[in-house]
Amino acid sequence: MTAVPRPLVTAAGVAAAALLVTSCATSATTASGDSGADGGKQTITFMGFFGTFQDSFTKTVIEPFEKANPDISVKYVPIQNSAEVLAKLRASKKNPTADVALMDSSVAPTANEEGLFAKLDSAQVPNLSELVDEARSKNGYGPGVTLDSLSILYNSKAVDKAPTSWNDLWDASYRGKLAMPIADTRGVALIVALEKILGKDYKKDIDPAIDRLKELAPSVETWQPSPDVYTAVQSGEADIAVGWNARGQFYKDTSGGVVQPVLPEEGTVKQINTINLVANSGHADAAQKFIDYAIGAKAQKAFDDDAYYAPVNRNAQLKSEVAARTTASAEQQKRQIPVDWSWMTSRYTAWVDRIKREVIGG
Amino acid sequence: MSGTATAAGDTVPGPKGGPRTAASGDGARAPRGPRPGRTALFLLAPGALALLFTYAMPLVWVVRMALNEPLDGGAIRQTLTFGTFTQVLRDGHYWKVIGQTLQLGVLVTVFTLLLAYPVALFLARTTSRWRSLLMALAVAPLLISSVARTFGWMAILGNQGLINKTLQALALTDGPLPLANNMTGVVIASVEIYMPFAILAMISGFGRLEPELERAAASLGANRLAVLRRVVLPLTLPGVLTAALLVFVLSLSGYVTPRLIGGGRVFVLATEIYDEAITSLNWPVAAVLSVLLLVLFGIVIVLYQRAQRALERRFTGEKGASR
Repeated sequence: MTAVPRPLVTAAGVAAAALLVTSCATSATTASGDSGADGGKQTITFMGFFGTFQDSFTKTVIEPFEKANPDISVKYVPIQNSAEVLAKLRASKKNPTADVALMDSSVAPTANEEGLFAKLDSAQVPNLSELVDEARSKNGYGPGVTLDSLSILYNSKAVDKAPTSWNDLWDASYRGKLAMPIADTRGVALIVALEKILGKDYKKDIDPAIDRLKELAPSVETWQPSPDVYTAVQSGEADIAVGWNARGQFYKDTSGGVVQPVLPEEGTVKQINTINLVANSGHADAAQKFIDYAIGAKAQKAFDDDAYYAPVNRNAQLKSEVAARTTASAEQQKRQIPVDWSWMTSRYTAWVDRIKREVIGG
Repeated sequence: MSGTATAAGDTVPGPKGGPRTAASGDGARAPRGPRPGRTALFLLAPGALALLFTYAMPLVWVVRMALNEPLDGGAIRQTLTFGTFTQVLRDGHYWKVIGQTLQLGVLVTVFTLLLAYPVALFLARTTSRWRSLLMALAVAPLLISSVARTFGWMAILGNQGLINKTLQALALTDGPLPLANNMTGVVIASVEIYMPFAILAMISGFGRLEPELERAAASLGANRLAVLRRVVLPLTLPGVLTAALLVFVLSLSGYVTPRLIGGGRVFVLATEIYDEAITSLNWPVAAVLSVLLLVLFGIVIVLYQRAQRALERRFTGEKGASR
């Protein structure tokens, strides 16, 4: 009985082995790029966020970098979110598919601990000394490269009285018109802000913020606007929402001012993306040169002026109209709500679970 | 296309009960001719290999991941434990998610069958020369991705949507009716999205339906309701059952519609798996939920096969030779 299929089993085994070998071979080539071992042109692979972020980063950081370093070219691999970066790097630990990767600062400590990222050599990344405090890495891993912040968004055609404070979310006139996508980092940041407003310490007890959010629940139209919160505000599906400032500012421009992001008067909480050297990268020198460039004053000014992030480099002076629309303005600088994202790493899931279960009621 | 289409291909046996029943069939079912020869196995090999790499191996990986232990911050401890299973099964939240998944499945299946049955019956019986055109129209929605169709429903059901705008313009309602961003919206959109599948499955299972039988029943004095109840309905039951299985399984695994139109309030297994994997970075829990979803599919398919066998036994003593 078994005699019949045996040759087939062998053939299948051979084919499978061949497939494995070839797939390994291809991943090996993509990993190290077409590396010029003899000092020729090198290609480093950069994992960054997709969409408008990619457009802006390519134009303002990568292209000038390549011009300044003709021997290095940068390949941009667009990714959806930090979870995808983590998954890809875990799957290719020994022979990584990227040399430099962006990652949210609440996820990066996990990747650092797993040995997916390598520590930087400060001699090769001199711009590290110019960083603002919140972008600095405590332990030598990748520094912050973008500073975003949580904003209130509103539809200027539908809302007469513009919100100015986080407390305005509870305003009765907005009842049933709120879009609150807070079952993720935005909710975690909002809890930090509310704790500060309520005079509490988020590191000790987040019950007060959770209770406050529970009061908001009946006013919420959607906890998950589709396709995203910015288009929901633009279309008038929701009048008031919370969202990230940089993207909100982008939509303010493209919607002709219908979408209005507000940095609340109590201050806001920053979200930090870190730029990291992938462990076992075959191009550690070129990769660190790129990281150094990306956090440098010139690249920071160019990128932030285009994409409305706040600079991580102290010496980057944004255009004044851009600074006023980010946390870089002197006024906003004074009232930022501090948050310890690496501390958050171990609490993140529990907080999101509490938002889902107690506030949204899943 | 979307995840729902792949799910259909992966988990649902064909309308005829699937090859598994044929291969592992009970004694009553005769084996299908001689054992497959070398050529047949050779022809099967590419497909089997592809399945091995795209389906079996990832499945093993998921089961393996379910036996790991999640640590804080998305880290994973490599181990072999049922601890994550126990943690999930002891957590009321996940039971609520499973309950809502089943609730959605039942609601969507019932409404889809109710709406699709008359259409399928009409299409199966009509002798109109437009029949092929009508058939094509009935399944035409499949040409549009379910993502696009869900967005279409949001434009209709949303607070600023067609229905609410009209109702408010006519001063029939004060505020907008909550038709989207909740279970109602998910059910409405899902029913429309799965209807073509149900219609196709029903028609393919209506083989026993013959106009002569209806005429015979009528000539013996049955009124139209009695014909429908005692002749048409029993004869079409196998098709209805297949459609029910198809729609139920599709809606259990459906991700796109609950995510887009559920307003974050509809927690089902598919969306929860995504959230655990992507937002919470809790891969072991995501893997456990995936295994539970698979178990749920298994149970549903066993129930379906039992029902189908019971049905066949009822049909005039036929020993399952035909379908």
